Amino acid sequence: MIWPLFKYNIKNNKTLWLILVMVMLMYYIIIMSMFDPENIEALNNMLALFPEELIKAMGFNNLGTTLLTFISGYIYGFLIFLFPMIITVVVNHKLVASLVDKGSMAYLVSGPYSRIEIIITQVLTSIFSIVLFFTVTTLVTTLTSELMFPNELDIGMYIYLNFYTIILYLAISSIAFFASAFANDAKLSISIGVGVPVTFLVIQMLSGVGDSLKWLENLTMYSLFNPELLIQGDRFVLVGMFSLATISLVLYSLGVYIFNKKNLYI
Amino acid sequence: MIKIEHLTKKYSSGKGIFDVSFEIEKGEVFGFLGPNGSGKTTTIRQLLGFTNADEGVCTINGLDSRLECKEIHKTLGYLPGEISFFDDMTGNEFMNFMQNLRNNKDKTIRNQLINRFELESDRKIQKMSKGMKQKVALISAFMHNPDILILDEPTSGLDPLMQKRFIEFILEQKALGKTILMSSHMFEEVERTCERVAIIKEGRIVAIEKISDLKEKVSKQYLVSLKDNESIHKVLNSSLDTRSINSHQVEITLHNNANEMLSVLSGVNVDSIDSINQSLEQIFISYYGKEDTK
Repeated sequence: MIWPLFKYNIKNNKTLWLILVMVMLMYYIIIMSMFDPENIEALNNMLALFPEELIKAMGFNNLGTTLLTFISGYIYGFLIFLFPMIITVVVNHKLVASLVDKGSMAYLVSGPYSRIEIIITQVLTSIFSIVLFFTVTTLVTTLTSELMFPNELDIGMYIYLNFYTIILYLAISSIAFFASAFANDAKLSISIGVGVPVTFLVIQMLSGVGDSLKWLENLTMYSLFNPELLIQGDRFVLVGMFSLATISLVLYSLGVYIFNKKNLYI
Repeated sequence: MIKIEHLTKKYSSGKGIFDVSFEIEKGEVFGFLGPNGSGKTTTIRQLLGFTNADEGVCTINGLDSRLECKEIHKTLGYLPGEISFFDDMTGNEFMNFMQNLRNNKDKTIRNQLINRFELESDRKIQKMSKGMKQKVALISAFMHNPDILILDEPTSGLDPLMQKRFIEFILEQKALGKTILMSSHMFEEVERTCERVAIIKEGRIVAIEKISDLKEKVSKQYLVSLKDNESIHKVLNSSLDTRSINSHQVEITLHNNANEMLSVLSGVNVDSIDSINQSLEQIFISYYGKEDTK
C-alpha cells in the first residue's frame, strides 16, 4: 500500500464520487417518502396502471408490504445497477488505464516501488470506493428511515441486503478493474468497463419481461443478485454471494497479475 | 554501472531494437544519439523496467532492470521523453507528490533548481508552456539527489539560455560523480557534457565512440583566397594538403601542421582566410546516414 498514491487517488476521484452518492441518496429518500405504511395497496394499484412488461423490466414487480421490500423492490431491482456502476467504471479507469494511456504511470513505475505495490494500492482504492459508497448510503438511509418511519425498517435485514450489494458491486468493479489493468489505451478500458455491465443489465431487463425470455437470465451475472430471495431467507443468496465473490477475486487477481507482467509503453 | 547486453525488443510493426549492447561506467556522462524512431526511448524503457525484453538483459549496479527495479529506482532519477503529469496539479503539487512517493522531505535541491531554471512552480501544469513543463520534469528527476540519471531528451522545449544552464548543471553533476545517460538531439550539449556517445540507427548501434576520438576525426580545413597566380602556384606546390577551388582560392586541409601552413602563407599574398571546419555535428549526421556530410 502506497499512501501518497492512495491519497492522490481519493483526491482525484472524490468529486464525482460525492455527486453520485448524493444522487443515490436523493433517490432513496424520494422513494422512501412515497412509502405509506397504512396504504401500500394504493401504490401497487398505481403501478398496475403501467404496462406489466415495463414494470417487470425495471424490476419494480414486487413491492411487498414492508418498508424493506418496498425499498428493495424499487431500488435494488434496477436503479442499483445504474449510479454505482458509473462510479466503478470511472474510478477503475482512472486508477490504471488512464495513467498508462496518458503516460503519467511512468512517474509511478520509475519510483521506488514494485509494480505489485502500485497495483495493489489501486485494487485497494477500487474496493474502498465501493465499500465506502454503500456504507455511507446504508448509514444515511437507515437514519432517514428511522426519522421518517420509526421502527418500520428491518435494519438487520437491510444491512444484510446492502452487504449482498457490496459483494455484487465488487464483482462489477472487478470487471472494470481488469479491463483497466489489461488495456493499453483508454478506449478499450472504457469499452469493456461500460460494455460488460450494461450488457448484463440489458439481458437482465429482457429476461424479466416474460417467460419466453426467462432463459436469458442464465447469461447475466446479475441473476446471482436476488434481493427477493434474500428477504425470503432463501439459501440461494449464499450461492450467489459466493459466486460473485469468486468472480471478483479472480478478476482482481488477474488484473494484478497482468499489470505486473505487461509491457508498459510509457 | 549501467550495462545493456544484446538487448532485442521487436514491435509487431517490425521496428524495435536489435542486439543493442553498451556499458556506462560509474561517474560517466554518456550520450545516446539517433534520429527519431531509431530506438532510443525503447532502450530507455527497458532500462527502467517498463517492458519485457525479447532477448538480452539490462543491469544497473548489477541488478536486473526489470525484476529488481524497486531497488534500482531508489537511487535513480528519470526524465521521460514524453512528458505527461497528473490531472489538475500545480508544479508545486506535482513535486510534492513526487517527493511524498519517495518519502523525501528535503526541499533544498528542489528550491535551488527552481531558482536556477526560473520555474514558476505555483502555476497549474496544464497551463504551462512546453518549456515550463520540461523544467518541472527536469527538477523532479534531480530533487531526490539520485546517483544515476536517465534523461530522455532533457532539453527539448528549453530556450537557448536554459539549455546553457542545463549544460552547466550537468557538468556540476558530473563533477559530483553522478552517472548520467542522456539521449539527445542537441549536438552541442552532448559535445560539451558527454565523454562517450552511442549512436543508434534503425534499432541498431552503429557506433560507440569517445567524444575526444570523434573530435580528432574532425578535419580542419581553411579556404584561402590569394591575390595573384604566383601565390596560388606556390601554395599548390607546397607540402601542404591542398586542393584548388578556382582561379584564386585554395582549400588547405590541416594534419596537425598549422605552423607549416602559416609559414607557407607568410611567403605569399593572402587576401583572406576562412575556416570551413567540419563540425562534430556533421560527423554525427554522417552516422545518422540520411543526409551525407559534404
